[in-house]
Amino acid sequence: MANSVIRLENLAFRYPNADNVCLDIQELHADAGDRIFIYGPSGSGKSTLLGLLGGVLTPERGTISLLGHELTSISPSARDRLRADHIGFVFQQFNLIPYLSVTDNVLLSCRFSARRHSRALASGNTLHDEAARLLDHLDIAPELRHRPVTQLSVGQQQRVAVARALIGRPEIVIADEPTSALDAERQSAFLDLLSRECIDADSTLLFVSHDRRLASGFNREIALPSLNRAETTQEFA
Amino acid sequence: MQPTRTIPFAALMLLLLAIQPTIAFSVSGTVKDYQVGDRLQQQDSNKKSKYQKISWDDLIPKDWDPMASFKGINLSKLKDTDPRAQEALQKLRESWNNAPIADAMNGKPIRIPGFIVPLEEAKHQITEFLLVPYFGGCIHVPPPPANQIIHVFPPKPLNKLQMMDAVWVSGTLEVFPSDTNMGSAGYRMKAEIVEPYKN
Amino acid sequence: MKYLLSLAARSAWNRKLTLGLTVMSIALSVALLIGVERVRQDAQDSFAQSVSGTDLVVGARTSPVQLMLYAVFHIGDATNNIHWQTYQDIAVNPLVAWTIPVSMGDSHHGFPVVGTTMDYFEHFHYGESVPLTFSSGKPFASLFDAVIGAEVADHLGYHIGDKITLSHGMGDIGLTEHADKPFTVTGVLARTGTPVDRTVHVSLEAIEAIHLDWQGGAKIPGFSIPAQYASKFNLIPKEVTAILVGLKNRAGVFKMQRVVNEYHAEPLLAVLPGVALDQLWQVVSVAERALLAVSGMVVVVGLCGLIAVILASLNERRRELAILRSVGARPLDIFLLLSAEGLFITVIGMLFGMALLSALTATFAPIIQSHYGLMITPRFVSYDELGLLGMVMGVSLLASLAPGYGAYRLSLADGLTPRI
Repeated sequence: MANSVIRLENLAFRYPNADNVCLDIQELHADAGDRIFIYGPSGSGKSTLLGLLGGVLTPERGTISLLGHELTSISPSARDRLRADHIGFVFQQFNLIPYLSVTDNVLLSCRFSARRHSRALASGNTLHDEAARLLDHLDIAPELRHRPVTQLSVGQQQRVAVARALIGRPEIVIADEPTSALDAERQSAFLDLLSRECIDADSTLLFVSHDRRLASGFNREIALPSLNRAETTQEFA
Repeated sequence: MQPTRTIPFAALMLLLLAIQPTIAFSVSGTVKDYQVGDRLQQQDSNKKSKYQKISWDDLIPKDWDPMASFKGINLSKLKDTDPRAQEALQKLRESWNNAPIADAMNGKPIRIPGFIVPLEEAKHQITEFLLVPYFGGCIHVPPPPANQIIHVFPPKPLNKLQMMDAVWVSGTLEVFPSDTNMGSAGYRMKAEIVEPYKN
Repeated sequence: MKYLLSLAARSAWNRKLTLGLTVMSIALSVALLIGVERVRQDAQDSFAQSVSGTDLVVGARTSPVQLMLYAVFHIGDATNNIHWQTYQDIAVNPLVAWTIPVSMGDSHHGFPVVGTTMDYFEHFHYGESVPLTFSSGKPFASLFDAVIGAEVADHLGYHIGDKITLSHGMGDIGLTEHADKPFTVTGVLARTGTPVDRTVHVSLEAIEAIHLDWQGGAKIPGFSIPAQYASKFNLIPKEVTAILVGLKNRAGVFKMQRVVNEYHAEPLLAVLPGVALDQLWQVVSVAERALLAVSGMVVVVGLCGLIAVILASLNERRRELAILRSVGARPLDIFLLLSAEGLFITVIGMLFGMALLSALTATFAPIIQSHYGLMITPRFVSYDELGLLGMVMGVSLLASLAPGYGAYRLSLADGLTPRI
């Protein structure tokens, strides 16, 4: 427990104007270096959990501890800062900002977090070089880097999103259904890439998906429907 | 749009519409709050000054007697419509119009309030003006006689002042000599200070 | 914060096709608003510059504004003329230092013809007591000599020695010409930026001469007096249209004004140029304020359009906002980003508007000067106009808060996982 990167205890969340609690978790923790597969079909409270972990939602009761910081006892802008400094996100699709180039998208994380900015520079490279290094690892060819992101394929876009999530070595990476928009053959390749990079960066990975077939290759598996004690799951605000 | 957004949006539109008339009205012209014939109070808070504060009455020579034309006429003894009464009044009016200059005021450093009638104006800067005692002179009511006008040369061109603005003028008064006896004499001043009038 | 501005700029640029129309509407409305103010300002300056050092303008009794318009700006007609005797009475008044009689009614290719005396060239000043100077030639010496203004010379391409004929009345076409009595250009005046530039000056006697064989506004049919015999007749003018008066003591202006206004032989009006112009601007300012209010409203309409466009696009930007939140942007940052976008677009619109106005000013200034004698100075922006622009900026700042606030609320509601 001493190494807990994430720790949720006795957590309950209800959307405003909702009659019932939609998320009720007694305990959930992640240790450093964990790669956790969270099975979350739609309606299981997955989005709520991500919102709570990201600090954009405030629980009705209970505690959320990220790297020792208790989210419920700090201000919203402090939570935004924590998220910027310590978490990288990858979403299912439309991960990239259309009016920025590939490289600028990757560097977004460093614009809102001074910590990640300096950690990205720690290897002695410039920001652009560090972004290029990550993009290289993720198999994005150099000539793509200055193209508008709308010209990339979905798979390429997802990989750019991974680079953005990883730059500056955040302690936690949360991926929300990142493979759902990819073709079947590319999904496992993507998974391998993601896992490898997270190990490389010493980041704890939380991978949320409804597709249980992807669960192999992770060192822990959590099923949200059984974890979530809430009776009805209202995901719509 | 969701209801939570329409209300602030509508409020903002109303605010914008309310603001824009101030664009129009604040740009051109100030509102003058004087009435025709108003005179300015002589008091002001500036106590220490090398200029002697005077009133417009001080510009009338002490020996001018307005009642001179009425001497020898006892109004109570005249019949109604006696032409002498009207004649005397006419004489008084002419006398006032041709009232002489108080030569004793020549060279005195004075401070006096009045209203501006621009004589020379270029690019919204007044370089020469007449100072008159009352508001609306020469526009709505007959203009004052020569001993109630000062021809002022401001120290530098005046910005932001215009016709019938009220000002304090400080400087050395000169009696400008006449070369005829038709009374083309007058008061003149190279002003050292011209400042807007505030009570 | 700086990065947010960079994002805002790039975001706006990315949607330039959609926003282009909005930018254009803001540009046009700003050009209109500043244009109204600029024209009024310049017209007022122009009028004020047109006469200097003249204490009184005297004409047949009419309104002060009308008198100034025809006597100084040669716009419009006099209701009546002044008898020569009256002019002489005024000229010899002890209060008077100098007088300039002017006589109007003829024209040359749309430019007014003014009959006057040598006093005009000596005593007429404009701007800041600037006297008239000749760019070439000299004042009239013989009967049918003419001195033309700079605009007349440029527009019609005249030089010293050219012969011109005058037409009766004002107007461009359909006028009877005094064809039998041509004039010779003997002098061209240097450019003044006042109505003098578009005036043809001849002597008072010449005006009499060309109308010798005229009666009641038309040529007597079958009767003509050739030009070379004109001087044999009495060419002392019977009347003049207006008189410019300079006094020995400027403070005596009211006294002289009273003398003229109370003149027994015919009804006259004497005005102080400054006072009459002020009355003109009072009348104009009512119209101008109305115009400004309408222009202001048009700007607001343009800004409303901008707000509507940005708000309408918010829905498709929810993913984008969620991504920004996920990398650590606070709701406040989202608010600032969208507000900055709105402001950014307005500033671009304003710059375009000012550029458009400059281009229009530069294009039309010569035409306006040629037709009305008014000088509109081409410039990008003048100091007073900055005040108006500042107000537009202020209003657009407020306007930009609306989409900012909308995005703020949206972002709060959506969090990291918007339901699209």
